Amino acid sequence: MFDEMELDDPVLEIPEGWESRAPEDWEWETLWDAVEYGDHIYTDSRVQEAIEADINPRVILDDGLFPGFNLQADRFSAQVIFIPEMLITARAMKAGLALIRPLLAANAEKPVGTFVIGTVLGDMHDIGQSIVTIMLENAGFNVINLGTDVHPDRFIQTAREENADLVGFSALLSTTVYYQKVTIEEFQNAGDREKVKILIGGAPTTPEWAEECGADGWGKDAVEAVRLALRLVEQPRAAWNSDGG
Amino acid sequence: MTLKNDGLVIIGENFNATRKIKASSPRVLRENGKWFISYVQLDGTPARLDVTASMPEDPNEQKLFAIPHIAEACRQKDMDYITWSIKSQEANGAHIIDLCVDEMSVYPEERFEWMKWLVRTAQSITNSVVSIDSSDSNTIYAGLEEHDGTISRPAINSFNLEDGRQVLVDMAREKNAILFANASGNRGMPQNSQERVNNLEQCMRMMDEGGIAMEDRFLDPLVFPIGAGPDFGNHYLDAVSELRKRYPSVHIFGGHSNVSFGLPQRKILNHAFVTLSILSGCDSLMIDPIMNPVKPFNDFLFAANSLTAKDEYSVRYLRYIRGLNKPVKRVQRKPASVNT
Repeated sequence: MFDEMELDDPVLEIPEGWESRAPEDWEWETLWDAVEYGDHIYTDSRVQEAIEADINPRVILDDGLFPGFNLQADRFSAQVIFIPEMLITARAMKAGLALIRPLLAANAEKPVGTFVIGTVLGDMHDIGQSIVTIMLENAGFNVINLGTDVHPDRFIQTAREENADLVGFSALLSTTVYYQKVTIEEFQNAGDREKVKILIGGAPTTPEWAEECGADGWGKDAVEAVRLALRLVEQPRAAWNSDGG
Repeated sequence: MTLKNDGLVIIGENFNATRKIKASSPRVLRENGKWFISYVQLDGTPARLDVTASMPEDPNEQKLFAIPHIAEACRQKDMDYITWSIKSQEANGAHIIDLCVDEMSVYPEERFEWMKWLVRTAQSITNSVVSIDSSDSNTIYAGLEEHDGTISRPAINSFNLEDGRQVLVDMAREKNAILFANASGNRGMPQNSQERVNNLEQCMRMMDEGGIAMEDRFLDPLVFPIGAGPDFGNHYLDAVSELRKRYPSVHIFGGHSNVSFGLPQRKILNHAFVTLSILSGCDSLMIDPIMNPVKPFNDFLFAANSLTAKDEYSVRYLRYIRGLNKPVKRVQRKPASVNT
């Protein structure tokens, strides 16, 4: 019935030599399933139990939440599952993260990076970038979402104030993708281009356009955007100065 | 706009450069390393459009690729394919042919040229109303400038409360155009049915002031994909019902197929959604009339109105059925009082 089903369906693979870092009588499988099937209520209660069992929050995140999430992300990329299925998995992930994040912060674990996101000037669409925001937060980014119809100056100002590592702008209309190029030029003019990695996305955009407008990367969907962000945040950037320049 | 019958007004959405066909579709053929989309011209002649230039080189990417066939036909200026995609919509019941070239170029000046070319080209093919569709007002002006009002009336798709769009009302009057208005607000997309109604009410007031005839107004409350939000279908349907209550004779339509974006077997969802929309009060559909034959929707409209006493004594239903079976012959009669 679904022609998409002819594609390879990724499965959950436990890496060789993987050892549970949880107490002996603890099992993760039910949490993996809950995240995979988007059961946010069970995810919430199971993560709470894990915290009460004194399992390290980093371990809960890596061994408890990410396996089911990454599996669905792979399936989404391969077009085996559809947006709503990815969204309920993200919702479950978010429920678990809400409990863990304060504990990570208390352990002085820093966010993966700071990501400023928004839809470009003249474009009122926000559905796509809200999905990307959820996924980035799930992956551990501190995300500042500026909403829609964002002027280039506001992207630059916010990137400075937040010492952003990455900036992403989406455009959902063929007539507004041009502002992705304009916004990148404005970062250049402000002397801030080398201090951030810039990602673009949105239905009418292509990798060719990303290159033409001078972006550092392009994601075809929310999952790819997150993978790209995780890659780019590792790359060297010019430092933000304390004088705000 | 005066209708040929009192059935649904069909706006054919196919001539849009964003439109794509999956490479896995049976319509897509591969021969000697070249890719083609096959189609049958209206006189029955099989034909094909060479789409090799649009295809990615990587075979893995090819598998999942969606081919922008309208954009490709425009780039090649393939008149057979362009004529077919306009005429086949008319043959399947489209009253208005929507034209959109937004995807042809990210650069405004290039887009203006594409729109001018397309309006000229389309008017050389059809005398149906063509709707000049862009998310950028300047592209709409470019199309309107080129439009020849002696062939047909233009339609403007669309006006809304976003900055800079209000001038389209004056332009509609100047160009005797049909005017589409959508529910986008000046601060962003509407978040629920109430915002849709409020925004369109403001548009209606501006169209009152601008002197646009009621039958020339088409309201689009905006359809968002249910894949991204479970309530998005209801936001639209509730807005349609409310608008219909307030404005019994305005046209109401939506881009109905948007509702199923990102989900499989879209036709199943689209058909259910069109049916629900008609029940809520839509009298116009923006659809692909080839993939979604219009007759079942008109059957449903007349039957439902008759069954729910919106069509007293089934008068319109009966006229519709007679019209289907036995088209009324239009006999030229001389007025009795005229002596020859």
